[in-house]
Amino acid sequence: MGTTKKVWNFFTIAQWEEEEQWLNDMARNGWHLVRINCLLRYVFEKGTPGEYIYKLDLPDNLEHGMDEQAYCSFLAECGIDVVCKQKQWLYLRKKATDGPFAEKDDLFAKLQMTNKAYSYAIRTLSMLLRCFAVMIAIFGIALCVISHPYINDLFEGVIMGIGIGAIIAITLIWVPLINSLRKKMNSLIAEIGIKR
Amino acid sequence: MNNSNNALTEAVYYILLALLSPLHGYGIMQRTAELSGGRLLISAGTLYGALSNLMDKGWIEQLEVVADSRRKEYQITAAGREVLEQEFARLEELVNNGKRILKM
Repeated sequence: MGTTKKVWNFFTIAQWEEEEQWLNDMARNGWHLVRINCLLRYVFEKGTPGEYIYKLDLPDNLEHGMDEQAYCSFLAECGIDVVCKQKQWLYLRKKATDGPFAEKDDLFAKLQMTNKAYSYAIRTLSMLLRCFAVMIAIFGIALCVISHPYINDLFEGVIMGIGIGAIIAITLIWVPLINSLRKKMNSLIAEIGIKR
Repeated sequence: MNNSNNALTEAVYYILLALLSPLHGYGIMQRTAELSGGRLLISAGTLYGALSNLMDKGWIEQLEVVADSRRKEYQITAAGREVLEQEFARLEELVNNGKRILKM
């Protein structure tokens, strides 16, 4: 096993193009992604500069009843390795000498990817909301059952905290993210109306 | 189902053309690149999605898997061939009108 280095980096759901660009820049300098630790530490292994090219993929297994294993073996057949999986994203790589993943600036492929990221963002948001709701419900029920002044104050504080946290997270992070993805989709749709 | 008014995407047109003879996934990618002179590079993800959509429509079918081979082969169906011919006629109309009016 060669030299490795770990780099901390963060990209939002809307920034897969930036992330891809960064991974390809690293690969061009001889640092090839091998895995991603929890806490978003990217682990790179030293190798031949430019040996691999990288791509992010977000398979929509829910919509097409896609079998992930079948998809990965299909990718392997095409000379593409699945380097790692982070949440629902697949990090793919292939030998640069085998040619690019696809043509650049394929508008329709970009639209599909944006659409997938958009539904992923919405799914994640609704999951988050459900978590908050369940937590508030649990503390709320506890509040009704237990009648001890100190614990009651504590639980009221917790409910307030969760509620305020949820409102801040949604307005500051999720709304702008979802809006930026929606705008990107709209401008791609407008462009596809003219040329494909 | 009448699709005569709907244009096929370039990728689907070339995939159907390629599948006039049976091919597996990677073979389709190579054949479509070759047919278009290296211009059309279909990504594995796009191809995977397109193949399952075309199977749902019944335009292509999967061939019986050979016992010791894990690779799936695909081939065009009669319905798929009909769609391809309709698309060919549509494209021919586009080209002929272009030729006539542009005088090229």
